[in-house]
Amino acid sequence: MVELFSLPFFARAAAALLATGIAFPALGTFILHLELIPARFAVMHASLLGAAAALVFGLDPAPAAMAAAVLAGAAIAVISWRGKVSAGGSLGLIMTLAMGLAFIIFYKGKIHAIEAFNLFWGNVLALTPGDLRLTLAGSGAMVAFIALAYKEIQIVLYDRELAWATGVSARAVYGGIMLLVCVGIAVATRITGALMVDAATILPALAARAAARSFRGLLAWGAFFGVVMNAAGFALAFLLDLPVSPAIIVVGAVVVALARTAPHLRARVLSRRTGR
Amino acid sequence: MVVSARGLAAGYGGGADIFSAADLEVGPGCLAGLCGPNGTGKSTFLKLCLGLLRPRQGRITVLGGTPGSRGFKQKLLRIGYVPQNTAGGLLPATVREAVLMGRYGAIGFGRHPARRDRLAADEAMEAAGITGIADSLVRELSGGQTQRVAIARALAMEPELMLLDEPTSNLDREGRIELVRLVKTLGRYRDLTVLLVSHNAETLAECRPIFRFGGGRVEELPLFREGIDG
Repeated sequence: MVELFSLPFFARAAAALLATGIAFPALGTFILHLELIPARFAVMHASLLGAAAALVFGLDPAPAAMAAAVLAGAAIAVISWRGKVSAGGSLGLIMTLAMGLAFIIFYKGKIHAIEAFNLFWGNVLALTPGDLRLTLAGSGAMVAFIALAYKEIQIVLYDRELAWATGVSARAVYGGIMLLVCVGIAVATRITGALMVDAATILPALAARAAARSFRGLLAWGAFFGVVMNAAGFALAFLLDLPVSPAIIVVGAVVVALARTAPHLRARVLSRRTGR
Repeated sequence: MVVSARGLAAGYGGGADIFSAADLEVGPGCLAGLCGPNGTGKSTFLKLCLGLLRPRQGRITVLGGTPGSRGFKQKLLRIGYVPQNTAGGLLPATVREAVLMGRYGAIGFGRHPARRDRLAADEAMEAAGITGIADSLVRELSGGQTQRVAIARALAMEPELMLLDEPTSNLDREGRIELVRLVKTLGRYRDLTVLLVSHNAETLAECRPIFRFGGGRVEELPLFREGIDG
């Protein structure tokens, strides 16, 4: 298997999976603690609209999709900050409006919807050097932001109102988090596909939640589980001739289940021992 | 005046005013009580003090600044706030970390807590009587302990003004007496001004002045004013 790393496409895939394995679980932690799961869907739909608009003008749909994701993220940040909740109704509006407009563009621009939807079938083995650079830059930006604003992110995730009341620039930090989530979703879409973005973000964060006792622990365990899931899923895909993203998801689901049951099993074993 | 409101009206969204034409003044070193039925604007008033909500009418000044204005962020560093819901969501944090969070605004962006910040957090934990559970997770504590953590976090800011939103709701009688004693002692030594929302008559009896919220109005209870004057 080692000789496979001499193949450029394989090396690019491995590098992308390592980088996203380390950095992207933090996004999952943000999504879970700020209740951004509906927001994530709205961002994906908005990026489809961006891609559709780019195809009409004969432009590269990938940057347009990312720009649309960031714009949608900015709108969601404003809506959800005001509501101090996940703003489900407004997000539903953004989501359905984006899809409606995208399909009008497909129809009027005589574009086959499948061309735009192709963007959403990510493939880590099909990453171009440009895609890899974007992935590494995105992952690096995430790690840098977290290192710089660690305590501000911590208190915003803990309680947004409290963050504001203690004099932290909570709104700016919240906006920064939303921006990272949007960029992350757009990048992860190229790697895993839109429907499997959770493999890179939420699954490792869920496993980390079961193991961590602090915010630092959440980030560290998330990175650990992210790398393990990506590496094991990638290896499994090659060994059993499976598509990579679904293999990562299956491994991730098993890891989450193990991480969640392990503390209960440990407690049961300990209570049996003390019972004796 | 530490807190001064003139002709204040407040409400949420397109709804009616929760209260209007409210005049209220709290001087330095006071332990002021806010009472009244649920939904009459006591917590809303604290949010106005912090700039979390803008008044619909009138004017409010806190520590000489206008809440929500550009320069008010510096004033926020001198205000300790204990919200009604102090659980802190699902994010895992130890008591020590949660108390240290009170210092985050003062520490500044991109900087780490210094020794002075850790000392302030330790002192606040001691004052709130939670040093023994410093390494426990906040989410595993009882309601009363969680409230003490929130109070310690506010104290760690070394504030000039504390806004306490029903801080005694999860405490037993002894806990309530202890908390009021703590707040009064701090008031004496640090010249701390406190605005305390409470439904508990015993707690309110320690407060001067007391403002009653209800029927869309805010009034200072005359009984206590006479008590002070007399």
